[in-house]
Amino acid sequence: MKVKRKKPFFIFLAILVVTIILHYSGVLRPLENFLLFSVKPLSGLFYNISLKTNLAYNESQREVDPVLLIEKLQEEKASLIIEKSKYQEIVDENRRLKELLGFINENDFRLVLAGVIAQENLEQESRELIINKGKLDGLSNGLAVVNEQGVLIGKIVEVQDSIAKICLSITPGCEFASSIQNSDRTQGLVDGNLGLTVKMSYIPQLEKIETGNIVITSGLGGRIPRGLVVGQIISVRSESNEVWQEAIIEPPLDFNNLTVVSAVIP
Amino acid sequence: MLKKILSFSIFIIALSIVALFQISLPPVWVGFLSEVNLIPLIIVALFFFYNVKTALLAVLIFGFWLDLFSFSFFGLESISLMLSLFLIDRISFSFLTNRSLYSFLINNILYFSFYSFFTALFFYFSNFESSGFFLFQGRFWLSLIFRLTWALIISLISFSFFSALTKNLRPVFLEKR
Repeated sequence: MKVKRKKPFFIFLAILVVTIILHYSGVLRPLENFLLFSVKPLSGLFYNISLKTNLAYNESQREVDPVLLIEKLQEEKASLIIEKSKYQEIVDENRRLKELLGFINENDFRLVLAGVIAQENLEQESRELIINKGKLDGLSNGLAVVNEQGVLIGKIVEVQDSIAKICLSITPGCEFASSIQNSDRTQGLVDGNLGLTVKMSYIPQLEKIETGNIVITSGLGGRIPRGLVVGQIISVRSESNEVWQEAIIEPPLDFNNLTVVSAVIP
Repeated sequence: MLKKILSFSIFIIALSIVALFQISLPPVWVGFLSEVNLIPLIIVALFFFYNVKTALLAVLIFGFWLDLFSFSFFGLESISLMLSLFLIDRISFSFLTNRSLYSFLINNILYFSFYSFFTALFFYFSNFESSGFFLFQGRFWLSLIFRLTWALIISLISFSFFSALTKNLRPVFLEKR
């Protein structure tokens, strides 16, 4: 009796083992890619429905007029930050001497548009998004991901043939080499802070930073180009008896409402 | 023959849609809502109301889709689902003697607990998380409590629904002569 009850388990376990072997040997890859390609629209639809229910619930918790005003002001603020950073870069470039020979266009990269189809919640403050483009579309690990305005959302951390996973810049552990648009052109590493903001630590006390400074990617190391807006400094923690100071940076976008993103391929 | 093939195809498509729903929707919601997980509930319902072979087929289908969208070791979800089903099958055969509501609830609680434990364990060993062993982290237990709460709520509702549809779950009283 016991053997009879266990028999279906052995059969299905054997099927499972064969499936795993076929996956890792690459035999199943065409079928997997076909299935992923077929279901990506449905997955994206479910994800969008989920986002809309989230937004509708949040809207219902608020009063109407102040919310509309705040959203409008936030959109204006986001576009002003981006404009300001662009102008600042143009002014800085004009000040430096460029040689005609060997000049490289710093904005020479292409964008791959992708839709967000799912989300993974690792911890309370840690989220990763899954997008519907992968290796076959030219994506690879370490590429930056931006929104339609060119603001940094995160970077690709894992990639399969048809899908890829991105970590958000506000997620702890998702680090970027960055530069502050201040008089000292302070360089540093930014990291996610509690899933809400971004933090730049280990800034020397001698560097002058203040709230309102724009932070951009520095383009140093990795495959992330220079000039992508990370956010604006909203607070600086600086104690005279400490060696380092710290800046908290607020990205000018809503991470709860991401449906379409672009991967930046240098 | 054609009817069997058609019903089998509908079964696979329906389970695949549920799998995609589970992958894309609940993780986006916040807090308690994000812990809704229909996949173990359906597997336990198929195991309880039908037979173990149907439940095993559901395990293969759900596991395949979850592994396809997962960036961890391929097979992690399928193995966790299958091991959990094996354990509740053993426990049901050895200790649970009838097909009552309490038996259904116990199956659900056990399946969710085993599944959460196995996925966390395999994920821990495949990723070597530096934040510590998952059993000593509050978020694992909080997530488990939320999942079990959802499991109990949906089980109660689904059992009432299914018991109204079939006579198999009606109690039988033996009369003394």
